Amino acid sequence: MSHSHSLKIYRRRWHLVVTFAVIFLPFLFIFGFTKYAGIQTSTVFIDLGASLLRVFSAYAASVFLAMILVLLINGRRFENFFLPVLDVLQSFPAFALLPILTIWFGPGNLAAIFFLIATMLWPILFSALSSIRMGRKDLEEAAVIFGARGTKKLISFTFPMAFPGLVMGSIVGLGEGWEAIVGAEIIGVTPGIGNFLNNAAVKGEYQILAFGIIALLLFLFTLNKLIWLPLLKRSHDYSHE
Amino acid sequence: MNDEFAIVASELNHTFISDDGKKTDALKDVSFSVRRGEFFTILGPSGCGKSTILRILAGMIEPTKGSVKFPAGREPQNISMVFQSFALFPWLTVYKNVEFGLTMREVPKHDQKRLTEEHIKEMGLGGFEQSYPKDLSGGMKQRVGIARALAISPNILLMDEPFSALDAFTAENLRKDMLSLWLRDTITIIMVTHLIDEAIEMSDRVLVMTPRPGKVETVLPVQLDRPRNKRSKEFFELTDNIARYVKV
Repeated sequence: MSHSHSLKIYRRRWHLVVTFAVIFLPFLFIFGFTKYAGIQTSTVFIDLGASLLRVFSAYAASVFLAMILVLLINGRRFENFFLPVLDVLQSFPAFALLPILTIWFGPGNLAAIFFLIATMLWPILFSALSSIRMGRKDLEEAAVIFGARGTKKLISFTFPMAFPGLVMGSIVGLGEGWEAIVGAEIIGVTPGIGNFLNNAAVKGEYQILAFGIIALLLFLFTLNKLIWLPLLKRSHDYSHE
Repeated sequence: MNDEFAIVASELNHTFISDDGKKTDALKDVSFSVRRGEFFTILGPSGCGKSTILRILAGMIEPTKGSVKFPAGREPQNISMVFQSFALFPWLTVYKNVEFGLTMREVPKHDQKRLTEEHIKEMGLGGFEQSYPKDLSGGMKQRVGIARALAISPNILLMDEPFSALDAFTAENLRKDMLSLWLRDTITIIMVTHLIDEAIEMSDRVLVMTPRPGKVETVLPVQLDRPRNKRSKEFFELTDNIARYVKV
């Protein structure tokens, strides 16, 4: 007993060390390379921060929208009508929307965020839906017979059932979201990390370009390691009896 | 109607319609009554509609025709269920699984705690409160399933092949525990099984079903003294007798 106890503390300490290392790694790297290349550190942070803020706000909106759609669609009679419609909508290339959105909202953050929602909503929505639809029938029977109805069922049954799909969809969606925002920023949304990379490429500063790409990779690695991997592990517990 | 009956099912008919519009008769004119406090077993081969009957009794599906009445139902009906697949919520601990029905029914907090702890202890789950279902053996999982079902103090307990997914030793132990619980509390149990042995060991009466469409072949009383000796002459005779009615 005492042995496993001490082991736990050791693991926790080790975990803390790794966590701090992972958090500081991208910052240290950005600080280091900007000093080395003689560019202003703050510009890189502003660029990266702007991209992150766009992705994050669009992600929050996408999850919110996806959950509302899941609640509207799941188990209703018009489900079989709605799903093919959504399927057609999701196959529409989001980049084709970018010009229209830019005309509507002007070439700024709002256009970029709507463009990101059009990219990220689908994987989140479809994995959450399939996670509920493919869930075991007997679990729903048990939930109902033990009294889960209405809002109570939503909180204590539907949401936990959707959780694994939500995590899976979020990982895929955010991956696509980063791809999309870097693309959009290369085309012209400023400031942003895509913009930073494009400038370096245009000016022929290949060293800075390489450093920028590595910094972005490190940053995304940190997000994955600290947020998504633990959630993925947790969602595994949600789906296996 | 008579007060001694917990459930009266009259002429239950159920027809499934598949996606391509094909109709399958699952149940045809199934009628039976279950007495209060009785251990009633529905026996039949797989595909004879046994589970469909349980789901109709539980109110989870509407029969195409026929009705289910609860004559002894002056007190609100509290129907509970034990599943063949356990159907534990994988995201909840043992404690939270057992507590689930009580939380949903908004039982006062201190009663929730008392009842949950009581049933965890009763089913021999002490020490496993904070474990998740995936970390338990099949037998332990079904103990959680039974504790969850009994925690809401049901007056009718439905059991859908509760021991079929367990190995023989575990199943035998759990059957014994289940029987002593039933003898102690006044609770009406309706169990579905495909095992003749199990039906005779546990029940007061056995309803034998024939498949496609599911119909009542016969209802036989089991008048052996409890606890029943599975190796006695009477037990074997009754087994043979029931086996003659079971058609696959």
